[in-house]
Amino acid sequence: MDKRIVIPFTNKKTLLSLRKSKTTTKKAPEVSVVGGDEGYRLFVEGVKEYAMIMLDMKGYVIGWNIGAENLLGYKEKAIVGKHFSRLFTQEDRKADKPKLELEQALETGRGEDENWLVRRDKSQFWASGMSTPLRDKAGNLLGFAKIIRDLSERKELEQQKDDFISMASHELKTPLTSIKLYAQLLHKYLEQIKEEKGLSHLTKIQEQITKQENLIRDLLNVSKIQSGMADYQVQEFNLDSLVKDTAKELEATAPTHIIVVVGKTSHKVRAIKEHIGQVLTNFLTNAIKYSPEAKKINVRLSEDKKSVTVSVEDFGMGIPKEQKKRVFDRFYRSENVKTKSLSGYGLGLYIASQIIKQYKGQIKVESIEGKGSIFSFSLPHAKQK
Amino acid sequence: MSKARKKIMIADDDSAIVDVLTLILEDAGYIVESTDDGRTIKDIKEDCPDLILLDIWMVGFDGRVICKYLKGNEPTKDIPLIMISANKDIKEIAMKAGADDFIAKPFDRQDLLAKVAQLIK
Repeated sequence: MDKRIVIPFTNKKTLLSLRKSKTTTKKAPEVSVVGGDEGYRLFVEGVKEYAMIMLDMKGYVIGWNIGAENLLGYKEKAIVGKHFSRLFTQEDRKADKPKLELEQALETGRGEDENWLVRRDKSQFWASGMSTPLRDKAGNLLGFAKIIRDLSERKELEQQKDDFISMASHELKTPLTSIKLYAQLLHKYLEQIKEEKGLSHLTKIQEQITKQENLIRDLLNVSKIQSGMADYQVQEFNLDSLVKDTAKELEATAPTHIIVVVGKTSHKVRAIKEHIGQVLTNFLTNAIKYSPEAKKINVRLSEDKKSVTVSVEDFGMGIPKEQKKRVFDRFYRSENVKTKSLSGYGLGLYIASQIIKQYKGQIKVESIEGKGSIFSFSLPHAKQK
Repeated sequence: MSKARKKIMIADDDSAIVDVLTLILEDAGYIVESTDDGRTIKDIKEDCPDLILLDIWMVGFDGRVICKYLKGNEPTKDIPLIMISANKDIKEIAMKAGADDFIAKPFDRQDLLAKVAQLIK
């Protein structure tokens, strides 16, 4: 039986220790570097951004690439033979995280997580890690491969970006406030002197002010939702009345469309009501905006054993098939709405998907270009107490 | 006295905001005074205004500190004070600083007048 396994480290010590770690089985597996594949070895050794670590069955380090040296500060000589739990924080070690990670890898084929890891100099960094069990062809466990990536820079960049958006929107609000107030004063004055032409121009200016206001609010919402800040309380509630109220509110602002709500749900969901209201508003305003020729929007409430679903169906321009996947991306707008010069910033659906993800729900879109779209989200039932 | 026109003090360092607020409030019949200096508002002793509109973020001065000071000292502690800010956490900030109310930028002329009228009784 072929018991060879591909080990991307050529260090003899690595191979030896792997053999040693298999003393419990009668025949040590025959380990070799695949066909002397120099390119593959160089590839692994040369990866500087990712730490690639090999562990024996019990979690002792038997292989360590340059990336691991760079990232964690231990030279290969210094770490081989030591247990990998030293890379975890004291807290995580107490919680038995190293052991759990390997157990998870064994059970599911791979253990994945993001956590703080500790360098040799005791400094910490935010890491994404993945552990995979290594087995020979007969299925005997030989050890684990662990790949680690430093995410601190990404985390920091995300923070900087959110700070910037927050600061910029804040700074934009002050001049916008004075523009808005002057416009309102002027409106009052023009009304008094019955200056119709001026009033009609001013009304257009005020519409643009409202648009700008909405954009700034959306930008702030993005940074707020991402930084997990919540001004409101998480509560358990039934979606039906929220759906009906939101539909009624929007119907009042868009007399062009009738919004028909059908179905009902009995299970409650657990969320911040305002967040879910925001998702509904985004779905419905899109449905109205992107079906200018249609008169009707269908909203359906339904549920199954696990979750409650709300779908919003419009009979508008739809989304081209190949662009469907991307509509939930930030700042993404499908080609057909761009060419029709409908205003928008590509934030509404992104915000909606961020919110639904936060509550472990699902967000979906079905669409046929030229016929219409159905946007839906599902939220898990609130757990009965 | 109650029939006399009420006096409002605006403390804000953005000249456009001060200008337009003055126009709106004067148009509504109030007497308006303004300052862009956080220090002068702390020195109110005589001739107190009937209401203060305070921007939270004046250059060099922290509106929260000014608010706490005014609310903690005679003769200003009973003057109604509305905090103005573009900060999204204005509600919490205003409550902590002891303001009577807050108004978030960008606001409407009507909202402003309603809040002022309610507090200035």
